[in-house]
Amino acid sequence: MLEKAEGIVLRTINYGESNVILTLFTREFGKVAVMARGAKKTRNRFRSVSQPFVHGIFLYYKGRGMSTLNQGDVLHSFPDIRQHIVRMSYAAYMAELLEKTVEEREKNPYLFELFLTLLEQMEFGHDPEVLTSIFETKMTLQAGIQPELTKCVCCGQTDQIVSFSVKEAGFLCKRCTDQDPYAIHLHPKTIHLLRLFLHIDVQRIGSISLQKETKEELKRVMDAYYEAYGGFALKSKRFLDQLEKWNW
Amino acid sequence: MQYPAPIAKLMEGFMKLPGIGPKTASRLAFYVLEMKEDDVLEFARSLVHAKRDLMYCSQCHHITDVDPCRICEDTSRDQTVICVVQDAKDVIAMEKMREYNGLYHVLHGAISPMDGIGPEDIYVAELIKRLQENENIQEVIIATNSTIEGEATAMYISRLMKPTGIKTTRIAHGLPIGGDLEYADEVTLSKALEGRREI
Repeated sequence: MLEKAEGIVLRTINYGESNVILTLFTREFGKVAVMARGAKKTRNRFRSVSQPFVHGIFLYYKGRGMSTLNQGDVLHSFPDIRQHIVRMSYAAYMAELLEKTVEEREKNPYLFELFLTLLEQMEFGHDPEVLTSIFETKMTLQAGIQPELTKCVCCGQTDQIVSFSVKEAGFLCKRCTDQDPYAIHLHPKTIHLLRLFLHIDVQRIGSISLQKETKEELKRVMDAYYEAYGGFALKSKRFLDQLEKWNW
Repeated sequence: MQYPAPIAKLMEGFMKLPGIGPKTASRLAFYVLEMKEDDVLEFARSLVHAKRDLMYCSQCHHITDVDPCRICEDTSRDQTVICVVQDAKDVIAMEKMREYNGLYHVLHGAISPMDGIGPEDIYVAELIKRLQENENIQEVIIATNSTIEGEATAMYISRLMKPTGIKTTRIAHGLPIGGDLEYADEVTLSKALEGRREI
């Protein structure tokens, strides 16, 4: 049976002499693995569509085993992301995080739209670090590990929030912050941003420019949180950590 | 069915090769039984020799049986140009062309943010060291694959090369010889247009 879907290539795996297995995240059917036969050959028509982050229309035979790609049309190849190593690394991290948190053929058009919009914003030149923070915050809901970001996780107070506790999975107020000696103390701006990132409509965001310290705080919270509750190790995360040392 | 121990062991050996499952391994193992003993011995010897005698060239990291390799040792080659490739197989592909007469540097991989492969996992540092030690080099041609990993590697190397002042070039991307414009995809076409030249 032929199936047609609009999708983004999350990952490619070389298979055999010249084949490539594409992990697509499609608007219609969620995550789908598709075999692009001969995609590594110079003149193969699937060559350009079999690259990571390509947004396109994919037509594939859905059999009992893995689907086989029949046609692929590129809608957007995000050339600026591909030509900029920092943007590419953040996009790779978002793609891997998405791939790890969604199940095969679990339809989620909202998540598709979110990922596509963030790639578009990154292509447009918006700060990849901020876009990744937004994605990480929103993905906690998808991964089923959403922290409490509206009120103090201990007493329920909504104001005087001062820190984030990984152990308690949420914000702590001034009175309760001693409950967790390892709680991460946060600047009020970071607290506001974490709340904003969880609910903001990415279609409406413009360019957000943040201070280095704020970005570092956001990263510290999300890194510690995903490490504790994510339950997966991301290869692209290791690369991102290396990238910071390069000073690009 | 239980295979006799020598066949089972042989199959086990074949199954270590990429793309070979139990069925193919059994077919190959039974084929070996029918081969002449001399051929089998020759085959076994070449396997051992390939493993024992081959090494990486200390200069270009290409696979070789003598160090430095024959390409690095060849004084008739242009010693001012280095072509950077991902794999040893790429050197062979370039040599088949018979138009390039410079030196090589094999990275043995490419930077891949998706797979967490960073510059320290490939031979990039060795390339920079080689360039620092050899003042004759005037041009570095980056001939990594036209994939996202190849591009990332090319970007990284070109960035490292900037302060050295050595001319750094990237091989062209675009339409393959004999390719129809009509069937080319938009990414390839835009690359071809980007790299157009005056005739």
